[in-house]
Amino acid sequence: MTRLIRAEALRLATTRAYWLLAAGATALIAAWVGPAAAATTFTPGTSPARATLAIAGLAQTVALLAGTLSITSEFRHKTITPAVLITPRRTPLLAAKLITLVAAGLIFGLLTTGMATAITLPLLAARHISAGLNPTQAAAVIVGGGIATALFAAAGVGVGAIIRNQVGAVVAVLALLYVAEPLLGFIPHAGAAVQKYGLGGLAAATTHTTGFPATAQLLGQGAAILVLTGYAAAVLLAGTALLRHRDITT
Amino acid sequence: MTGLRKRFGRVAAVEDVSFTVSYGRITGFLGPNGAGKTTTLRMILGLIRPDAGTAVIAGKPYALLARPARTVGALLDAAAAHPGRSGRNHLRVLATAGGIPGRRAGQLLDRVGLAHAGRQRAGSYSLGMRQRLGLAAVLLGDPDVLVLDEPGNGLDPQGIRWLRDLLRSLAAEGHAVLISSHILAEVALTVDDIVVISRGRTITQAPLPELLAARPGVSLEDIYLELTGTSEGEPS
Repeated sequence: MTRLIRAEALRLATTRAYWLLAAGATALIAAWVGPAAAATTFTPGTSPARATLAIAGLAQTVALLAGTLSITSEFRHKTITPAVLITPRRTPLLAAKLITLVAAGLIFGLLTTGMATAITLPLLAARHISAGLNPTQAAAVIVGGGIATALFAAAGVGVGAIIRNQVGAVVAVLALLYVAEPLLGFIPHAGAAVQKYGLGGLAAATTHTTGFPATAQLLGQGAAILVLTGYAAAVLLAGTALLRHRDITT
Repeated sequence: MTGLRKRFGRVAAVEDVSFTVSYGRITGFLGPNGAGKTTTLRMILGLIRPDAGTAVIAGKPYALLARPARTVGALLDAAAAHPGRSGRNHLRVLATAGGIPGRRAGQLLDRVGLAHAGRQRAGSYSLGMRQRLGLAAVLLGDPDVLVLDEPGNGLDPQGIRWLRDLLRSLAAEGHAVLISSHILAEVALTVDDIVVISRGRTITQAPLPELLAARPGVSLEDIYLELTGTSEGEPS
């Protein structure tokens, strides 16, 4: 198993797409969080810091995409065949990808959320705005950012194993996050559940930031981590079953 | 392998294929397009699950081999490298997963004549260079059995000669080599045994000299076209 994880880590490190995604997301978060902290007029009664740090949730989207790519790019570039020839047992192969992507997601989430916090708090302080985030809560944001990003990467691996077509998987993920969930959130009554148990609401609760909309009722951090873990486990189980049974014809 | 069968939906890709590949010999695997060659090779390698029949290598189904990379080396598609990764890193990833020392990657790039291009992205390789990279991947674990699908595709005349010499020397060392090809003139120069399949069924398995001796003066090409029933030149 160790050598499979080492192989996956090498695969990850030698694929430019992941580095470009990570660099792009980091730059975007910095470029967005800075002006937001420096210039936004915050709604009274909300925490300005938590509202600003919600922007760092982009890290979770990127992790979900990266996890998906870890499988779909193998099918797209036909490297799944040599990969499965070297490692015919497909469950350990998927597990190695999962462990590698979760570790990378954790590090990426900690770094981006930490960076966003390091930009936000001094800017708010300079404007003499109360951040509404004590040091313990700030730690919860950063650690939560790591955990949420790791769990989204895990779910992405499962999604990739289910939807092997790269374009299809990426479109499905983005449509769920940025079209389906926000729209379903507007449905009276049922919408509140979507805001709470949808991926967006769970990410916000896990990272201890505000949801979409900012007034959405969220789960507590611990409960959100549990539900998110459950989602990831469900897609991973389905993905593993499919990967084990499907013929590899590309 | 015996009695291999596979249907995709309503299409029967392979109906009944059985043959044996011997150590120390090169077996040419022939058949028209759509005859089921690639599906058969993928069933042998555990990538496609047969509906019926079994394929074993060194006594075991591929998926149960303890050290697959050291037992079997297979090249099915020369394009199977991530275009953004260098040829060297492509080999390093596979070597790491197979428990093979990373220095083998450099040695094999040398052996297949890609030492100069090891750090280039695989996406910039020509088809011939990709075939060479694929062959390097096959040889990583110094396997006993080689399975190669159209390995001569895209190789220049020097490359084809090099490949033939490589396969002959591997067979002489005792390796078993199974190679599919449409280039019958090349097959006639390279292989020891012939397996022909058509419409998903084995038509013949015989040593090449025996096949040729049965029809003096008739070329392998003519024998093949008669066997597969496409001597009129129409597509099958």
